[in-house]
Amino acid sequence: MFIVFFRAVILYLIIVGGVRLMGKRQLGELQPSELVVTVLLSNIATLPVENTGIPMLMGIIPIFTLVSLDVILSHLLMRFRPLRKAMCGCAKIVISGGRIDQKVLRDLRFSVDDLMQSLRSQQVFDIAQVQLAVVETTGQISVYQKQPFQPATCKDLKIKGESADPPQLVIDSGRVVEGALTSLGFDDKWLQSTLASKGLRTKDVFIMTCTKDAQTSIIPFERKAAGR
Amino acid sequence: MKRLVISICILVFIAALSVGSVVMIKLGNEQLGELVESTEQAYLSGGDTKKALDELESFWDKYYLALSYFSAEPTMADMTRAVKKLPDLYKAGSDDFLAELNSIKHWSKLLYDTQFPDLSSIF
Repeated sequence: MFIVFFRAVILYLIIVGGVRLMGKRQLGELQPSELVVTVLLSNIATLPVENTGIPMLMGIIPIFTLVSLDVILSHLLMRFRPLRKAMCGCAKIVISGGRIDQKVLRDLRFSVDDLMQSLRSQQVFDIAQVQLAVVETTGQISVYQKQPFQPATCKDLKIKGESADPPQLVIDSGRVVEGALTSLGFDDKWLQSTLASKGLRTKDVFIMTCTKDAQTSIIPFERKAAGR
Repeated sequence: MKRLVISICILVFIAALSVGSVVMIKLGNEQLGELVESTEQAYLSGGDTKKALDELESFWDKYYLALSYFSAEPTMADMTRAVKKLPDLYKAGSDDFLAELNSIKHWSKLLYDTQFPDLSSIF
């Protein structure tokens, strides 16, 4: 029993480390090679946990081999376009100028239901509104709507506005987020004086966000809030 | 780039570990073969077979432990069974004694063959 427990803990740490090594892309949409690695990892990891007769190395070696190969392959894919095309395919236009390319749809083995479902997931319920739709290498469909159906922008409405960065998290659960103040152009002294002006200390704050022009939003911990 | 370097290092380490494991099995098998030979010689020439058997058993115990990190072959269980049977077979003066010694040699070769990366073992 203990062996299974220890093996599960060790393999958990190894898999987390492996996925971390593969990078953030692995956590989002998967390319075909990444999907293969992910499926294989989950299967290989269970073998030494289920069967204590199998040495741990028999699980660790293939996991690290696959993860390393995936990282090396992704670097090669970045460098060599033909290889990228061979391994990941390329994006295909399924609707162009409002017309569905039925041949491409058949080649991709996409049914009309699949297409409609993907359009609906992007808030497009009428195919006549679509100017261009592209099936990405991940299988997702990107849609560009015809001009009259696109949401109005400030530019369309001739509204002038300044571009500004959104507020940034400065304090998370009573702790200052590393690097946040520096990136906003403030320092700890400013933070302390801002909090002091509201009768708070860093450890009293649940969430604090701030913009570059010092607009803050502070949510204290509930126990503190209840005490006030 | 850091990830690429780490990945290449991991692959190199795994390759080195794999080569190391095959070399370890090759050297271990050679030593095991010598011990089996000396036991056989001692038995046939009326020498100190018991001492040779003790050496063989003690070597196998250590060798099995090292092997168990790399391999889960059923051959290893067969070899352990054969090694542990030898003292009793010797005491009983059984004819199977020499046959078991031969089977240990055969299984050790089989173990190496299953670990050496050639077409038959990979596919």
